Amino acid sequence: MGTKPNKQTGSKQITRRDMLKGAAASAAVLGFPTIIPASAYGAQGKVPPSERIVMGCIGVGSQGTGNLKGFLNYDDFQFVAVADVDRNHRNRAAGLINAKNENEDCATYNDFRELLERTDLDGLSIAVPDHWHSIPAIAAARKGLHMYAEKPLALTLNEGRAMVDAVEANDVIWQTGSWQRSNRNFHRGCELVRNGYIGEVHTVHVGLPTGHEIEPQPVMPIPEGFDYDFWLGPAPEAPYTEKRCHWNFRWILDYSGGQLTDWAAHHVDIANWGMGTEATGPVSVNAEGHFPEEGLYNASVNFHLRCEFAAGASPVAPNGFTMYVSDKFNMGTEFIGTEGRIFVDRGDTLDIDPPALRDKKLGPNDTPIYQSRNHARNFISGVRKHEQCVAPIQAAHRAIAVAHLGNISMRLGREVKWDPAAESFVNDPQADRLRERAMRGDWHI
Amino acid sequence: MKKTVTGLCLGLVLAACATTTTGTATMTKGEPPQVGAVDIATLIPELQAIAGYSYPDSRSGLLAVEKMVRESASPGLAAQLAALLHTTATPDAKQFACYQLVAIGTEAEVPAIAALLYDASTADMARYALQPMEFPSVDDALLTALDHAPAETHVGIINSLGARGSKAAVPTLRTLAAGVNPATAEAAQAALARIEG
Repeated sequence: MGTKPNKQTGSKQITRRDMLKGAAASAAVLGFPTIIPASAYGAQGKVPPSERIVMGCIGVGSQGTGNLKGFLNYDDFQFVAVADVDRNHRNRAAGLINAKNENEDCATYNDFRELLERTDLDGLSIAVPDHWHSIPAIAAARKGLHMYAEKPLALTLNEGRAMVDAVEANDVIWQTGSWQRSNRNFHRGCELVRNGYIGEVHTVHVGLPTGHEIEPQPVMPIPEGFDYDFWLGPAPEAPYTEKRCHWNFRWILDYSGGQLTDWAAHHVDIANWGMGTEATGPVSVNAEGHFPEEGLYNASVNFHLRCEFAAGASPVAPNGFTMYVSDKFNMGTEFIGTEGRIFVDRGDTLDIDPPALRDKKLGPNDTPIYQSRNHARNFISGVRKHEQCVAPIQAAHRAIAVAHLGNISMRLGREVKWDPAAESFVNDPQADRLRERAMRGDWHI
Repeated sequence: MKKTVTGLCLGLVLAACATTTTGTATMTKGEPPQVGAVDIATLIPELQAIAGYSYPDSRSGLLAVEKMVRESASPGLAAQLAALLHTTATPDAKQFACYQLVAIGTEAEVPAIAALLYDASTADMARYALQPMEFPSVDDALLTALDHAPAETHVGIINSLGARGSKAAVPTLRTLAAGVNPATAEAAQAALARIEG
């Protein structure tokens, strides 16, 4: 992880996490409902402190603070600690938590590793820049902490795989912030596609936003209270300028994959959900893109990916199908089958052809797909029951892999062949090198 | 075994440097690479043009080289990029060269890149290029650097060996994991976990 040695306890302690897990198992054995009933709640219908999921936050910029505000609506959570390399961010978040808890007890950390040394946590909300996704998540998984963590899953293919392995090996509950899965329209559209109501699907169009450009930015003094070197972390050294950091990191390839990865984590994820390709991937990707010629941002502004999925990869595409990912399509995901089409996007957009399908109820031989109507509550339920959430890490990995393959194809200027089972390129060591990046200094996963 | 990359004479591929000898990089197993200084003027014009690049200069020259990397991926271009690492080019230009060498570097460039491991200010960019390269000589280069490079580079080098899944590094990593230096011991333990599962 980094140079700071981890304090390891020599003996196995029973943690709150073990108790949560044990309670879920016991309840299952005894046949009791595992959601705490209202009768067991404390005064005024609040969840008693002993039943709350004790949480910490890593990363409380705009996204992390938005997530935190959402979580604070639920008494199931008890937030106790915040880590962020920006003092203003962490103090702001601590203020929100203290107001909710009606005390001044929220601990603040510049270094997330100190937060992870706490023994009172059950889970984490993680919302850090993409180049920081793998390190804290893997460290937290090794400590048995459940996670609600932001998309896109990882900066590289190999980091994503390592995150999946760590979460699985440590049996922790994971919810990716791909909240579209908890939206009625996305669920409905995907369920119809998955059950064959538009016939055999041959084409999927995934529309994403166009990227960003900006003029060259001057080198600036690092703001007081912002630990810029820690913010860079595993990324290459670079001079500070305001527009490099916080929300704008995603337009720079040292820290992200651009708009392509940022939104593929939503709409390619939906494409995979509908097609049932959440545990596999394309066998070839050919991508073209346009990159800014000047300025600070260097991720592709325009992009067009053609991704071929093999026969059998999807239960509704026996002959295989093609997924196109482009900033030229309407935002959202469009499934085109032999008997109809479905287009779904945010904002109540669910176009179904033929229209009669709109009110179609699933038949007895159909297979419902996982249903959630509230992403945060789904995470709470997953932790309490120790069950998979609606946006598992494996699916997040496969969604973002499509975008990573596109970026690699663009970088090499050619089509790449991919083995989705082995998660490596086919006889292509040059492309295989781009599955990972060395980390700066002492950082590692 | 001694591997020598001499001359970087790229006439077969790049007419611009057809008669140019741009330097010498030599690597003997167990010893730090020996690399001669290279004159920027001996590089191809596209690399001469970026040798002075520093943020926030125009990136147009960098994009031109990226295009060459995408379109040619020639061994000659890789050798020129490796030669740039031993000129008086700026750190930003050298970092950019290492980025490109990830994609097109060959085993012949390993000694020239590995030489950067011996300077703490350039070790990270060297690892960026070397870590994903599939050649066993990279493992040799990293292990040799553990013996001779400045101490502040060691954890990073150990991390790279772990990320590579380097079986050749296991004996060395076991020794380091049992050592008294907590930083290298922790890194070696993590690397062994990645290599041995």
